[in-house]
Amino acid sequence: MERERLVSVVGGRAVKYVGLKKPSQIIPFKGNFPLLEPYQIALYNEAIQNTEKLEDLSDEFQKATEKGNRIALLEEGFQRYLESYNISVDAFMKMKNTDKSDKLMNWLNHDCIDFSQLTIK
Amino acid sequence: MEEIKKALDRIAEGNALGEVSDDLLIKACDAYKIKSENFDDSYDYHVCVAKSLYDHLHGIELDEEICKAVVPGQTKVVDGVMYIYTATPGAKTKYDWRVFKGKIKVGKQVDDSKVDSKQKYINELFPSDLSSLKVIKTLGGSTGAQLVEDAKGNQYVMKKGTNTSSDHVRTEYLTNQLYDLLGLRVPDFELYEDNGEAVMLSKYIPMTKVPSANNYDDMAKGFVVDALLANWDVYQNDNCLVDSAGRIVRVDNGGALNYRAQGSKKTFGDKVDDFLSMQKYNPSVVANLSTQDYINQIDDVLNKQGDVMGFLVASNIDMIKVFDNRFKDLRRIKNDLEAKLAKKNKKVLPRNLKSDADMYRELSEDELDAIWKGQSGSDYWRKLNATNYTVGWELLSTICAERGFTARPNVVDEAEYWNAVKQSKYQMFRGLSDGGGHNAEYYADDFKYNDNCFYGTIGIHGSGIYAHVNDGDHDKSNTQTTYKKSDAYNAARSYAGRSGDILECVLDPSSKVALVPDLKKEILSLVTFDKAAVDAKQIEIDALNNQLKQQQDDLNNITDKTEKEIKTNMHWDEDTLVMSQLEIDNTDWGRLNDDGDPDYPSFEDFVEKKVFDWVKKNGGTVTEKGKGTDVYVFTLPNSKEKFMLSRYQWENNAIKRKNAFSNAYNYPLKRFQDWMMKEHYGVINKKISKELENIGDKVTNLQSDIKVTKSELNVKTSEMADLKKTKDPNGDIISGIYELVRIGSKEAIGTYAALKGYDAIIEPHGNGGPNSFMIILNRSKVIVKK
Repeated sequence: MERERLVSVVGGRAVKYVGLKKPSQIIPFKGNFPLLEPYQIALYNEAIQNTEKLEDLSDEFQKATEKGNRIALLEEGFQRYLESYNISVDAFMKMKNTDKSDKLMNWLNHDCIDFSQLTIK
Repeated sequence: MEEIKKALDRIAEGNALGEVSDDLLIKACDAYKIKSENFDDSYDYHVCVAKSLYDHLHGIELDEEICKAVVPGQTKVVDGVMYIYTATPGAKTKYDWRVFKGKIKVGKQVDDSKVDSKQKYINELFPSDLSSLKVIKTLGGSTGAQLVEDAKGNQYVMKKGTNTSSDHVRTEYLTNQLYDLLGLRVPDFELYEDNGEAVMLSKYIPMTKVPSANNYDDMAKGFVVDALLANWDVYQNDNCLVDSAGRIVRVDNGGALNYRAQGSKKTFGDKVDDFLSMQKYNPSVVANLSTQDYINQIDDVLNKQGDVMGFLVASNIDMIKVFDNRFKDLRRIKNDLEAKLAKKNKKVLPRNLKSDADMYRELSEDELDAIWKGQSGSDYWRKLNATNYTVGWELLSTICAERGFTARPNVVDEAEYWNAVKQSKYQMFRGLSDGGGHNAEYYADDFKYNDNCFYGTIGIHGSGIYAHVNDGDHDKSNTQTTYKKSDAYNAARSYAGRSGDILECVLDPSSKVALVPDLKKEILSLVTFDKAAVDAKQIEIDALNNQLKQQQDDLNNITDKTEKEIKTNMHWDEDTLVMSQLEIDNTDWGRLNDDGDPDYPSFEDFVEKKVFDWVKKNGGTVTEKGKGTDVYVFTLPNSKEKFMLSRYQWENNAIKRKNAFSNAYNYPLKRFQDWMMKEHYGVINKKISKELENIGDKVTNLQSDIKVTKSELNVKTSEMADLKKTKDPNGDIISGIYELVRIGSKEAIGTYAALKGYDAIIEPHGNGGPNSFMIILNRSKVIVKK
């Protein structure tokens, strides 16, 4: 079993994002958020704490996990990129919008990420 | 569309016709942004602006949706060039970017008074007037350096901005100043501003020679400075020379900081990545530098950090932040080198451990309050979930640092480790994989030798450092020869992956360990609530959940049933759908036999045995057009379109290629595939869609019911939260932890356990696996095999 198919790993990343209306402060993700409705959050937590493999989650939770995981990885990538310029998330948030967007575009270019990948669907 | 936007569009059109200047369009754009109610000068908007211009500059077709968001007259500067978004005849998106033609100056503007000043930086060692210099010879190179001589016969090497750029020359001047500050030899030099053009003179050093291998060790003494200044080609192209006293002089430093030697720009970033690449590409030069030598060089440079930063500030140089960060990065490199050295020497530095009294003391209310308030995050959720890539879980790390839990583990040799296994209740394996720019070995060393303790960023059973406990249901072999069979070791292997590493460790027998489920219960009992009301609410929620499940089943049944019936009635054969494509596409149609003749499957083997069967399984017919013709006509049950396949074509004209490099394919079979997909599976799919539309009302009603039920569930869940929640989850750390655990998340249990002074917590059968997870909080209690 590959690490990236283990719920403890991918679910662990995703769980921080599945309930958020705005999943990131630093990346303007597009899509339907939150990924799960409020009534599903406790069920989701229970599911990921008791399931070993990603494919053993229900379809709906699998999709939410994959989307949340993608958000987490992009967020991590951008944070690491900013850190390489010694820019903290707080400092980034205080930057002008035009500078923020330039940083975002540069990161997308640097990490070979297509703009469309910011739409989570 | 609002009037003001129409007016702006008209101005942009006028701009396209040359009737309205760029400056006026920009003013109109600014006015629109201020007055329009629809315009939002947000991060999202500027992302659209940046993306749109980026695409334009890279020749990518502009995205219409993104372009719609950008306001005409919008400007943006890239690499010192200002662009304006305006009406563009023939553009697909009506508007497009072009270079700004107005009067507004962009980029760094040169002060005219400074341009006129020719002698700003001159000292008496250099000529006061450049016009008095006589060119002796051209020294060549892309920067057009010349050997010049003044009236007194003093010789200099002259570099002019006209040959590269004034900025390039000024940058080399800055580099020379920095080398000087950092104690490495460069020629005497001076900078002139000649009618806005930068000119640098360097004293010509006679009797120099090109360095040989004998000089490499001396050159390498400045390696860390060279890397700090990103002087990539310093060791090549005679950029270093040996003077008559045998000393190394860095004579040509045009390839340092943010310039390449040829004068084009390069990234001069916050990380000294140059360190590794310069090592890699100059192995002979640095061959004799030991790890300790690098560390010593870094120390020397760091000792001069104050001088460099002071100089940059005093000179108003626009690189203060970059240098500050590069010095920080040198410290990181030094740490890495020290860790490497520690490992190489197999000498583990003494651990700095707190006493038990300190480690396990009760934290006071004031301390807890300070920890909570000191944690960044706008609410309890963000505070408790905050992670970074230095310490991992931030709040947990703060608490553990306070207790001294972050101290390094006890790294022991093989014999000591196996002795410890016998003593400890908990043998553990932690799988480490490559990632985040480092390999697994790096993470193993980081755990063993780095004073900074990284707690990870994921932990659905509790924040902390995870390991598999050797207590598996199926196999818990724990001897030196058998432990690799154990469930726990194999689970760790899954986490490590093929190229990963497995940390083998045990928990010190004196450790305080708690069970995650027990801590969860304890946390949930911290707040008392009206149990009867909660039970009643839970009954309502359960009922709604059952109702939702029923509705979702009904919806699935309706669509599934309809689809299934249609497929059966119309002879949909799933096996054929899959197999026909695999068989056709996986056959090597270009295969040749030993004689070089085509060797693909015969008509009998493929067409008669397989294709005929596929057609018949889907309710079709196969008929020979005339007896003995070997031309076959296929029909399908839901289409009037027939398909013909002849043996002659199969044997003589079936195999084709798109081009000489592509795989061969069977032309009649490709057509057959298309025919089946369109006239059979496609027809059935259309029928299914139509029927689903006909039962649309039923589907719509059910979907609507589901929506209502979900909405009710959300309301009841929220009401339940109100019944159980604390007064203010943001108010203090315990309330925050309670709230997070109450909604089903367990990450905060690790933080809670650390607050309570537990060294580690155990989740039995983590994620339903055969063994427990150990979540380590106190790294100093881990005994790890070297």
